[in-house]
Formats: sequence, C-alpha cells, structure tokens
Amino acid sequence: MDKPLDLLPGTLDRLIRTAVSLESLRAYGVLLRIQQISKNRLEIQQGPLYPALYRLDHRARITSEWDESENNRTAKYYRLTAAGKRRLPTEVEKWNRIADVIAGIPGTTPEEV
Amino acid sequence: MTLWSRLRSWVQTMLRRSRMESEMDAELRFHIEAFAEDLVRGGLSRQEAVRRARIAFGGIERAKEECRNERRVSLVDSLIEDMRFSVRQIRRNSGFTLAVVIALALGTGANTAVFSILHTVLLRPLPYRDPDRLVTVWQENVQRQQLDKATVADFNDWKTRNRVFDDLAFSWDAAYTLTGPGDSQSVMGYQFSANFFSLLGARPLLGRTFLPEEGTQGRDHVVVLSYQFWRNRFASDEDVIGRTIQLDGGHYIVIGVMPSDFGHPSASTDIWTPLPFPVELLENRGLHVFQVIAKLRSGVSLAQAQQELESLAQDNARRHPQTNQHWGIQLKPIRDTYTGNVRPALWVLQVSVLFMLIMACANVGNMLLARAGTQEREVAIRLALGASRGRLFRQFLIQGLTLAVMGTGAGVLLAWWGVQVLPLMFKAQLANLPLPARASGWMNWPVLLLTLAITAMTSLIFGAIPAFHNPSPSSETLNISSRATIERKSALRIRRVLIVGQVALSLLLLVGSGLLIRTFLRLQARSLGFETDHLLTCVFSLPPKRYPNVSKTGSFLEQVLARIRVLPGVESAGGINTLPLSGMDARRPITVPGMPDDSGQQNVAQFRVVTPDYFRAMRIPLREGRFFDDRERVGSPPVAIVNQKLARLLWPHSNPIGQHILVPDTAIPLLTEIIGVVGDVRHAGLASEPPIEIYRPAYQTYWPFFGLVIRTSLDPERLAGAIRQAVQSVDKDQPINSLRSMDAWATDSIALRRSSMLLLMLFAGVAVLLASFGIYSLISYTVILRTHEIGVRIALGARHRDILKSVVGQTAFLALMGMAIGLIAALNLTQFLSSLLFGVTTTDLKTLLLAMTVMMAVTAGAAYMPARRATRVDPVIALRYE
Repeated sequence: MDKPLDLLPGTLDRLIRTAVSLESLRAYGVLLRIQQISKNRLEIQQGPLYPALYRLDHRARITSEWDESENNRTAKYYRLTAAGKRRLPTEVEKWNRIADVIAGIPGTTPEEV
Repeated sequence: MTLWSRLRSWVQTMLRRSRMESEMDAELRFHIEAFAEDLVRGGLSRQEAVRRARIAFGGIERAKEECRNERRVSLVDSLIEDMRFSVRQIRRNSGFTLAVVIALALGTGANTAVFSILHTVLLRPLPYRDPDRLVTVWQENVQRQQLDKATVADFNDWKTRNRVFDDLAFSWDAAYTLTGPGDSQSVMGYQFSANFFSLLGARPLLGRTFLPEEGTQGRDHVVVLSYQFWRNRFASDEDVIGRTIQLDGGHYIVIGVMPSDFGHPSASTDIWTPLPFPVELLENRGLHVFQVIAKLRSGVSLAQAQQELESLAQDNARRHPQTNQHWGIQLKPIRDTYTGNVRPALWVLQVSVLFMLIMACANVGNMLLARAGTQEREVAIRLALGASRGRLFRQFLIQGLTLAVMGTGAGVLLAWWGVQVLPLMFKAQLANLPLPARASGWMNWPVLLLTLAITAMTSLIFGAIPAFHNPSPSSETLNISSRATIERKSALRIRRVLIVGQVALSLLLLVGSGLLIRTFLRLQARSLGFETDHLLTCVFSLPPKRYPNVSKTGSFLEQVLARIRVLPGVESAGGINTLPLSGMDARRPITVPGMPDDSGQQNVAQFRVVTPDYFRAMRIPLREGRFFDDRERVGSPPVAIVNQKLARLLWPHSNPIGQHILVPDTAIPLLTEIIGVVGDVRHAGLASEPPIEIYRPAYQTYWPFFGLVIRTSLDPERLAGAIRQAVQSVDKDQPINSLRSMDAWATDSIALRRSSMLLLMLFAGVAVLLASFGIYSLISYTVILRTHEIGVRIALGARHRDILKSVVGQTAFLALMGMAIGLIAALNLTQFLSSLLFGVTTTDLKTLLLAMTVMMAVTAGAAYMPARRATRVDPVIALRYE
C-alpha cells in the first residue's frame, strides 16, 4: 500500500465534488482534502486538477467565488451548487454500485461465470 | 437548464476573456506558492521548495490550455485562426481572389440592378384598382399600321354599343399657363372625363377627385394637382384645397391632390381638369382627339374585347366608308401604354445579365475547383498529422465564406450604383411612368438577397470541395512525387462542362450585342434630313385666351424671333408647330381638286406651321420653288410648301409648283397653292421613315403652340438664358419649356437602342472575359499537371507543335462544342431582340461570323498563353521532380 494508486476515469470529478461538499475550498485545499479523505492512498496529479475544476464549474455542478484566505490574500474558493447537492445522493449510490462491481471482479473464479 | 448555464458561462468567458486569464494565473500561482510553503514547513529551502512545487505541478501552460478547452474558448480561437488563415491566403493569391470577387460582384450587382429596374417598370403593380382589367383603346390605321387616338363619334359608338366594358373614359391634353403671385408658369395639364379617376380607381392624397356633374359645361372649373406640382408650387401646403388658382386667366378651385405614384398619362403631368363631352364633335370621325381608357367587364378577356370592338369597327367602316374605311381597333393593356418599347429591351437585358450571373458562378466554381486541386496534398498531409475532418471542413468553409463576403459586398455596391445609373440611361423611354425618385425606391431587396444567396452558396460549396474530396489521407496522395497536384477526374469533368457552357453563353451575348451594334451603325449612317448640331430649341404654348387668332400669334412670333436674331452668336432662327424628334404631331387630310381619287382613300399629311426662316435654321434643303417670305401675311393668298415625298406622291410626272391642294386650315378645307418643295425629314427619329408633309406659313395659319429652332455659332446651351429673356421681353407672362439643344433631342430619340447596345456590349465583354479566364486557367492547370510528362516528351524530341496540340487539343474541342451550342441558341433566341433591331435580321450572317471570329480569337489567345509555357518546359527541371 506504499505506492499511491492511479485514478480510474471519472474518479477525479467524483472526489472533487465530495471534497467541496463539506466546505468551500481553494483548489490547493481540494487537493489536500482528497489526499486526506483517501488517507494518502491516491495520488492526484496537480495539473489535471484545474481542468476538472473548470469543467465542473462550467457544468454548474460547483461554483466559485473570490474570498479572503487565512493569510489575508484573496483566493478562489469552490463549493457545491444547489444542483450539485441535489444530485449528490444519487451519485453516491451510483458510485457505490460501480465500486461493488469493480471490487467483485478480481476475485471472480472460472466456476462462477 | 444546463445548456443555458453552459452557454451563459461560455458567453461570460468570451466577454471576460482577459479577466479569466488573470484569475487563472493568480489561482495557479497561489497554488504553487501554497504548496511551496508547505514544503518549506517540511524543512526545505525556499528556492528548492518552489522548484519542487513546480515540478510536482507539471506543465502549467498545458493545464491552462486544458482549462480553456473546458470552457470552449478554443472554438472561437480556432475560428479566428481560420479567418486569419483565409485572409493570408487571399493576400497570397491576390490575383485569384480579385478574379473571383470581380466575377461575383458583376454577377450579383448587374443582375440585381437590372432586375430592380425591370421590376419597377414592368412588374410592380400599378396604383389602380384592378389594373389588369384596364386597357387603352386606339384606332388603328390598317394601311399605315399606325395607332391613333379615337374620334369623338367613334368613341360614342363604343360607349353605347359595346358589351365588354364596365366603363370607358376619355381625355386629351391641354397646356395651361398658371398666373398669379410669383412667376407665371407653363403647366402640363390633362383634361379627364369626369369618370376618369373613378374608372382607374385612383384615390387622391388630399381632397377628392371629380364629381360626375363636374363633367358638364359651366361646372368644370375645378382642378386636381399632381403631387410634384403641389410640392413645388404650393410647398406641400395642405390648405391648398378650396383655394382658387388662375389658369389661362380662368378661375379654378383646387379640389384634390394625387399621391406621388399617380401620373397619368405621364409622370410629368401637373394638373387635371374635367373635360365636358365635346358635343360639337359628336358627328366628327376625322379628328382623332380622344385618349381612351376602358375597364374590361370582369371575366372578359382582352382578346374577347378586341374581337367585339373589331366587329364594331367593321360595321362603322361599312356605314361611314369615307372616314372609317381602313380603320381598325387596337386594345392595349394599360402597362404597355406606359412602357412601350422599353419592355423588350429590359427583358433582353435581364436575360443577358442572368446569363452573366450563371457564368460568374460557373467561373467562381471553376477557379475554386482549380484551387482545390492544388490544396489536395495539403489536406492529405494535415489529415495524416491528425487534424480532425470537421476542423478542415470549417477552414475551407471559412475560406469560401471570406470570398463570398468580399464578392457579394462588392456586388451590393455595384447594384446600388446600377439602380441609380440605369434609369438615367432609359430616361427618355421611362418618362411616362411615375417612378421612384430615390435609388432605395428602385432597389429590389428580395432579389438582391436571392442573388447574394446564390453566389454565396456557389463559393461556399465549391470552396468546401477540398474537404469533402478527401475520404482518407491515402498513401497515394501523400506519395506523389511531384510538388504539383493530383488530377481529380470528377472535378476536371465539372470544369469541362463549365467551359462549354461559358463559351456558349458568351457567343450568344456576343451575337446579341453584335446585332445591336450593327443596328446602331445603320442608324448612324442615316440622315435626319436636317442638321442637329449648333441648334437650340424651346417649346411654348400660347394660351388661346391671350392669343386668340393668327395676327396675335404671328406678331408674337415675329417679335420674339426678331429679338433672338440680333443676339450675338445667333445665325438664324425659326418657329414650327411640331418640333421634330420631340414627339409632337399634327396631321391633316389633304386632297387634290380634280385628281381622280381612285383609292377612295384620303392622304393624311403631317401638318406643319412654320415661320419663313425655319428651313434655313434647320438646314432643310430647298428642292424646287421658293421658301416662305414676307409676302405671306394674314389675308394674302394661301400658299404651302410640300416635302419631296408628298410631291412625288401627288404629282409623280408633273411640276408641283403652282399646283393647288385642299387642306383644312381650321375646319373648312382651303384651296392652297404650292410654292416650294423641300427635302424630307425623319420627324420621329432615325429609325422612322419620313412622313408626307405639308408646310403652311405661321403668319397665315393659327396654331396655339410652337417650338423655336435657333442656329448658333456658339455652344447652343450657352444662349439659353438670352433666349428666355428675349421671349419674356415680348410677353412677361409667357413661360417656355424644353430649352435644350437639338442634339439632346436626337440623343433621346436613339437612347433606347444606344443604352441597350452599350449594356449588352458590356455584358458580352464580361462574359467573354470570364470564358477566356476559364479556358486560361484550365489549360494552365493541365500544363502544371503534365509538366513531367511534357518534359519527357521534349527530352525524347517532340516538336513544339505536337506539345501545343496535345495540351490545347481537348480544350479546343470543348470551345468548339460551346460555340456550336451558342450558335444554335443565338439563332433561336435573338428573335427577342427583333423589336430593337433596325436594318439587320436576327440571323444576320455577317454578325454571326464576326461574333464567332471574336470568340475564336479570344479563346485561342486564352489557350495559347499557358500552352506556350508548356513548350518552354525545360526537360532537365521537369524531370528533377521525379
């Protein structure tokens, strides 16, 4: 478990939304929060984080605003929109289904098929 | 919702482009700094921390670009890039672009301008109720094949006996002099029967038109004003209704003003007054005075009405053989009456210009196809390098669009200019129509848009062909060793068809303009019978109230001419009742006493009233006898001069001098002695035959309007002011009109043919240029394609002639095929020109041969230039491409 895991496609969007659903965060904060909730087992590429944030913003899943940061500089904060919040439960459920399926795959034996 | 918010986000991004960029910068910088601070806290040096943070982040620019992509910024970026690219292409191929733009502009511009004129003149609905049922009715002299106004008695017969008309109305022209405060002014009046306005269904702008009872004697002193006259003379004062104005000394009450689009019988009519039925002429079948307009009963066709009136005319010919034999009846739709012979000219021009539009589109297609060939390799390489097909398609579409925008933009400008210039070219022919004053009134916007759409589509479709044409970046395309192009069979086939069509259309237009040129030369070679240069003319009408008899009119003329003659620069001056080329006309029946009247037909001669010096001023030659002189006064024995044609007709074998003829002076025929014979004059213009004419002296014969002719040694126009003063020094209330040179009248009289000729020449010239350009580019293209092959042939010892033959051969065949098609088309289509032709038949062999020679020479020239390049191919260089 020392080597961080690569991300499955679509995972990053999911993680960002989970991260910002708790509180509004700066982009860097999102990165730290994801590492925190994945207990440092996932490695998030820093570059691709931004296009993902812009994409979610463009699709109105999350929104952003400029605000004072802790060291008195303005920074951009992301949070979940109302629409994003509404969709969260169904998406969590969907996610869990996929995770179940994927979790079951490696252990499958020929007899089971 | 999401679509909307995405769009909004996109629009915001586009609008706040720079803000997004700076925010993105700030955000990323913040990120790296924050990361670096965390690393510093972990024990690294500041510098090392920043370095590590950068490395960990990865490509900053790439991240930014991906962010932009997420916002769809790149779409617009690449659009702008495509436009820049097409502008660069245009600059690089400026010759090509210029050719395409000119072709598109000429096609759209000329087409729109001509159609706008055609629509305004021929197609636009006339401002009447049921204009399709309105006809003008004419008596036709079957022998002379000439239309004439109706006599009062015949009109009365039609009115009482027909079953095809709802109603008939009559009118005649009347010149008035308006007096009162300010300058006295000559007014173009028209007298309408009381039912005339209601029959036309024309509504006034202000006030009312005539009431039925105003068509009776004594109640007829009311007047309706034209819009122009109301604006110019009364400054558009709405209170003019009910005001009294003085016309020829009589008091008339203004009852109405017509709208600007009403102008019957011509746009220059100023006022209308009621015309009571002239009861004294009820039995008269000799004086053709009535302009008749009638409204067909609904459901009755023009042919039915024509037939019914024809039988009435035959009936009258039996009953009144003296006057009505050889008189038929002719009905004309009201629009034909207005537009006359400008109609065929406009249609011919419209069709020609349509051909030109087709050719322009063909040419643009041709040029774009040619270029598509040169771009094929580029496309293949880009596809191989991973460009998306949509991206390529978009780029070519934008290239086509850029050309289309430039070409059609120039076309709009050309059309705008055209609708201002074309009406001037046909001014004399359109004088009868109330026409829009401003170009915006002429412009036909739907047609402009349609033509723009057609040409834009052409350049778009042909422009985008390279993108369609490449199903895959085939290894074949990429592998070609030549730097040149790949031959596309289908594109080449389209280009060949285009060449055939272009040559055919060019030849057709060449033949048409050739026929008109020959017509024009034929006309120019004729003589009018007098000299038009250095001749100033003017026209005035003498109100019968102030000039009731011949001694008054005679002394007025004598005094005016005496004052004009002493002006510096004047050589001689005379007066005539009907100025040649001006459209004025007067006819009288003449008989020779004692001569057996075997035809049973009266001779009707043109009746001229002239002052003694008229012939000298016009330089009309004296053939026999003498001119009029001071002996011809009121009360002296009546004398006359005839023209050669009349002299030959009446006395083919004897001396006309001293003979007597009977000619009505006012109403009673007067026995008149012939004292002279003068040369013939083409009174109605170069294309007309000289009429038979009888001249009577102005100091013996009463006539209420006159034209003056003044021969000058200076530029005639410069004397205009002095002439006006001379007339007004005799009678200050006497206005004069049409103060212009005889050359101006002469130019007007051939304006229709001349303008048609010039325009058709222009169109034919453009067509030939387009066709030769097409041929030139096709052969250049073939030569480039075959450079290698030609090099091999030359290296192997082929002679120049063989090379030329092999390069030009097929195109020559195409050109010949086009000429054959064009010739067949010309033989079938030029008949539509026939009403404009004079002295040439539509199948004139000389014209056909000449047109074919010109076409041949031009195509040969266009083919030879690039073909010669083929013979100069250096085999060493050509083979190096290998």
